[in-house]
Parts: sequence; C-alpha cells; structure tokens
Amino acid sequence: MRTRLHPITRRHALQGMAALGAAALAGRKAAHAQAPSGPGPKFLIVLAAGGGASIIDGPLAIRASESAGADSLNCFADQAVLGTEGTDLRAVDIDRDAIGAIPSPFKGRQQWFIQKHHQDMMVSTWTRTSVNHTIGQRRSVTGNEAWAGRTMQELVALTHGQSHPLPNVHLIGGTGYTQRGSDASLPSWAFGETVTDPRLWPLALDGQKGLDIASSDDLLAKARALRDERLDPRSRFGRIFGRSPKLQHWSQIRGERRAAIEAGDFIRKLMLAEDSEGFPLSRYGLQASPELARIRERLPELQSDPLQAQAAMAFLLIKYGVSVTVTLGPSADVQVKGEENIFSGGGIYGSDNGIQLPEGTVFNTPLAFDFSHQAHRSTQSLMWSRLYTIADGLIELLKGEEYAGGESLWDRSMIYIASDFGRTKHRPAGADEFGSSHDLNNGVVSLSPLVKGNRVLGGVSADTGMTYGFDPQTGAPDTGRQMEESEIFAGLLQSLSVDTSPAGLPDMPAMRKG
Amino acid sequence: MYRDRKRQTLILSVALFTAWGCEDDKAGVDPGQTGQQAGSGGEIGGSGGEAGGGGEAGGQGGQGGADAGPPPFDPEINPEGTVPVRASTRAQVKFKGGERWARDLAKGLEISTESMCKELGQYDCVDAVHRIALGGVEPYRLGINNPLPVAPVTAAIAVDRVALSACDVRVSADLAAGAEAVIYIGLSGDERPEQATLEAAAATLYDRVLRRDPDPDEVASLIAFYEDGMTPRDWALGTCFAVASSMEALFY
Repeated sequence: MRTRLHPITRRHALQGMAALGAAALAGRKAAHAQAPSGPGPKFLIVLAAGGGASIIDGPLAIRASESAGADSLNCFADQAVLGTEGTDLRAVDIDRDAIGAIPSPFKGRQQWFIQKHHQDMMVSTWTRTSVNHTIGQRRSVTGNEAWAGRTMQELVALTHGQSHPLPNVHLIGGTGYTQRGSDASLPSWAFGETVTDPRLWPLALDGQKGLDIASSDDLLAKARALRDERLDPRSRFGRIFGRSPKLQHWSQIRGERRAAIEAGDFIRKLMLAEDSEGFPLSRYGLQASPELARIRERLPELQSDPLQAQAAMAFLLIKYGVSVTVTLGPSADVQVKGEENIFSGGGIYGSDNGIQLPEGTVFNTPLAFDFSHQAHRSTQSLMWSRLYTIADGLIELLKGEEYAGGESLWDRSMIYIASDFGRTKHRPAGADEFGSSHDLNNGVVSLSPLVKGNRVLGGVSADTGMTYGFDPQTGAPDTGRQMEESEIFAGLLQSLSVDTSPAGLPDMPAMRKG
Repeated sequence: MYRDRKRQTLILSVALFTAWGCEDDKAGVDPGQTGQQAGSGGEIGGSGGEAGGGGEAGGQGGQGGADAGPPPFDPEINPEGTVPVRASTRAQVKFKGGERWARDLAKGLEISTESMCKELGQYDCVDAVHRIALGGVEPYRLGINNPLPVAPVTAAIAVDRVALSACDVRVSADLAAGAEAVIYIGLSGDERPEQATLEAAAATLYDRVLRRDPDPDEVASLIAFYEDGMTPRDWALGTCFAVASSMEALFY
C-alpha cells in the first residue's frame, strides 16, 4: 500500500503559510461553487461523533514502524493497523479486555467496513477553531459560521426539502450539532425538528389515530376548522395579539405541513415499536412500520440500542419522503447490553478486583468519544466500530431502496461523520492505554457516492500525528497547508448540490464528484 | 366556590396587568365599550367612553391636536359581529408550555392530569411522550436544558391529541352524569338539545377553560357547529376540543 505519510519540515511549514494566504484570497474571490446537480433531492445524514473522534485512531492510523517518535505518539503496533488492497484508507482492529476501568471486553473492528465501503469513503483533513465541545460541534456543521451561521442541515433542507413535510429532523438534542443556526431569515420549516425518542415520536404524527376515542376524522377536521377559522381569528385574544410572531408561527404549523404529515399516515409508516405489551399498537388501531422486518436485518438491536433506533428512523424519514436531512449520534450515557449491571459488586471502578463482564456488555461508553479522557485507545476503538456499524446499516438500507430509474436512495445520500474536534496526539511512553485531551487538528470522514471516494485528501505526519491539507482544486496533498472549517463545509455542501456561491465560499472540486 | 376562585384570579390578573404594564394603552378592548357594537359614527365611545379617554373624540370630525384620542378601530381585525378591539402594538405573548397548559386544562375540565391523556394507554402524553415538543426540558437523560426555541410542527399535533383525549374524558363523564355533569349539562342520546342548553354549555365551557364569558359571536359559532347528523356527543367533543386547544388556551 502506498503511504501518504510525509514528515513536515520547516520549508513545508513556510510553503504552507504562503499557500494558506493565497487560499484565503482565492476563497474571498470565489464567485461560484456549483456542484453537478441532478434533478431531485440529495440527502444528508449527520452522524455525530460526540466527544471527538480522532482520525488517527481510524482511517489515518499510524504504524509504529513509520514514526520516529513511536514510543510517545498515539500510534499502533504495526499488525493492528490494517491496509486494504486498492485504498489508502486504514483500519485498526484490536481486542481489548476493558474500556479503561470498565471491565467490559470488546473487539474493535474497522477493516470490514473499509473493505466494504472504501469506494464511497473520503477522508479530508482539517484544523478546527475550538476545543470546546458545544462550539466545536456547532462549527462542524456551520463551517465556523461560514454562511451567516446557517447549518449544513438547514442549507440542505432549504435546497432540497421544500416539498418535504419535515425536511430537517434532529434525532438527538442538546448538542451543538443540533443547535438552531443563527440566520433567522430562513423559513421555519428549514430548521430542525427535534425527536427525542424515535420509538414514541410517531405518536406525534397524527392528531387522532391511536387514541382510544370514539370520534371520526371528519369531526376532528370540523372542530379544527371551528378553532382555526372561526374562534381563533375572531376572538379578542386572537385579534389583539394576532401580530405576535409566536401566534403566527402556530397558525403556520397548524397548516399545510401538519396536513401533509397526517395525510402521509406516518404514524404507521414510521412506527419502529413492535406490537407488544409495552407497545400495544394493535389495541389502538396502529401497527409497526411495514419496513420493520427489513430494517431489523440491518439494525438488529434497534429495540434496545437507541442509536440503532435513530438510524432506523433516519432511513424511514428519507425513504418515505419526510426528510432530506437527519442528524443522529450516540448518547453521552453509558449503555449496557441486556440486564448486566456494571455497577454491581463495586466492579466498575475496580477492574483489578477480578470482575469481568461478558464481551460487548458496554456498547456505548459514558460521554461517547469523550471517555477518551480516561481511556483513549479503547474508547476510540469501540466508538469508531460503533459508528461504522451504524453507517453500514444505513448504507445497506438506502442501497436497497430505489429512488427512481434504477438509482438508489444511497446514490443521492451522504453520511457525514461530524466530530467535535480531534484528540491530542501523544501518550506516555509506551502506554497501551492512556488519557487524551482535545486537539484542533483532525480529519473528517464522509461516506457518499457524491464525493470523491476511496481517497484521503491531505495526509498525516507519522512523526507528529498532525494532519496536513490539500489543494482544493486538485486534491494534491500539501504538507504546508491546514484546511479551514469553511473549506470542508463548502466542499461537503457542494457535493450535495447546494449552491454555495451566494455565500462566496471557496470552490472545492477536489471533494466532489463530477 | 369555582366562581370565587375565578373572581380571585380576575382580581389578581388585573393587578398584575397594571403592575407589569404588559400592554400599552392602545391595545386591547376599548375601555369605553361595554360589549355593544360600535355605532356608525366611526368607533365606539358611548356612555362609558370617559374611562381613560377611551372614546373616539368626536367621531369623524374630532381628530387633530395632542388629545385626538386613540386611533380608530381597524376594520381588518374587527369583522362584523365581533366586539371591537385594537391590535397590540407589541403583541408579546408566551406559550404556556405543555405542563402548565395541561394543568390549566385539567383543572378547567375537572379531570386529573393523570387521566387526561395516555399514549397507548400507558405513556403520559404531556409529561413523557410529547414533553419536549410542548416546550419541556429533560436535562438528565436527553441533555435538553432549555425549551426548544420555536415550537416544532409536531407540537401542534401533540396539542390536538392531548386536547382531544382530555375532552373525551370530560364529555364521556358528562354524558353519563346527567344533571350532575360539569360542563355539558342536559346533553344525552341522539336528539339535538334545546338552544338554551347549548348556550349554557358554551358559556360554561368558556368559563371553565378560558376563565371568561364568551362573546356573543363565540356562542353563535359554537352553536352553529351543531350540524345535521351530529350527535350531542360529537358537538360536545368538537366544541371542547376547539376551545381547549385555542391560541387563547395555549398562550398568555
């Protein structure tokens, strides 16, 4: 396998500074940046790697034999870093007995994913501007407010989602990835709709179905008309305060979009729960989504793993034309398989007392990727494997769904693995497990037939673990350049046929196909 | 007792209204009017017009000078048959949030918050299933420390589900209670009730849910809702739903 690892010299650094200045000028001058655009929507799935996914623990992993400072650099024994024929993308496959102090063994596996999906996988390096979690998260989807503070999700919704009932859905809340963008001039439908529990949320998609009430749809329609057309607009309250933006917004959400949601029968189509004692759907005239069996083949733990449930909902939202962008990500809570109690026997903080949990018991670390503060290597390994598994499930489901004319939904989709920032590159000499901190320098994984797949844009220094950039036009690695957030933001959007010229964002043909 | 509470609430509201200065003096119902329709002279005034200088000064010819009085009523927001009002120049309202709205509604309908709405018979609509959509927070499990800045589309649907379910509880109880009914007294069977029965129910509904008397136009709207083929139960459920989920019930 050809390596892209190059040591950075002082000359490189100076060249990089000059290139950076030129690039900044070029960016300001850029009047257009239009990606090839076929008719119909493109779909963006933001898979949020909360806590900070380190690119050198994934596709840009470094082998010890390549580094002059291997002993104290975050690199791996050569045999742990696996190459795949036909690609520069790397994988780390390691077995661990514990996740730091949590005695939960697991097998971190990445190569299967690289082997399967490298043709649609692109890594682009970048250097971020904040190591604060929420700010870093937000900047990963706004390109550091590159376009009036609009998020990528809002821009994709604006470009492709006007005819969709809920163009932009957030399946996680309380993160910078899902904060509302700061451009209040956007239409309200472009902003994210928050879904906190994918299994219960479909119950909010119809005003009446699933309620145990002897009433007809016709009666509800008439009662709504009484309220919306007669009582509200003619009441003293409605007339005195009718100019209130909040009342106007409510009038709007009681209008066409609500009607479209109910007409689509999404309360049934999106129902992830199975008919059971806990979810007695049939007793209330409901049923599980007709796609549930197919989804379960790809996401078998969706009833117990919240991230798999989110992925299942993401697929259904795109399949049924509800949304064009969906944001999901692992919880910051520890998640445990089955009935295991990791706190029993005083075991969790005392792995030296011999307590060992069954393999795979803990499938989501506390704080997601940020548990790297306590246990970098095992946290990164487990969580990268977890994201790859989710991404694979989504890709397979989308590939199995025809959009039109033989084109699959996947052909029009992108999974963007967004990260808060990178992690520090060093470790105590020879340490196999260690804690890491936050680092601006990192890289980003995007998966899509719309990007230039099977490539690493930029590279990483095997001696420092620091990534370097690339030429936005040709994609040629440039060891003296660091990619800015606005550049990667622009490149990903252009791949999704979002016209970035109104914002004057740099043209990034190196990232997009066509 | 309920009337007493209402009176106390009214007194408190007036006090707060004055203390906060939450509405400017050009907003709201004209202080000079007492519920009657404006005269043809262009705006009301009448005998009560002296209060706060609320009457239109001299009708068509009385304008000009520093004491010209409030502007004329805007016909755009005062369709025929309604009590004339002036639009607020600030129009600042707040969403009650699911929890407060549900509590108010349960109190008004004289039902328990626990019984008013359960999704699939077991998940509390307001406290659990639709909590975030209805402006709630859940910092511990979901990391949502602040209410959503803007109501999502599903909030409108969630409100409808809760209102419909709560009203069904009240209406079912009332139709079985006969003279002991709380709101829909005298409604039963399939026969259309007397006009007076419907009027009384409309007045009680507004009294309990919105804490005020209905305007004549609102009573007329509710009674007009009773169509051929409708049962008393349909009418009760439909009117209860419409008032319980109205903007006035949701915002303050």
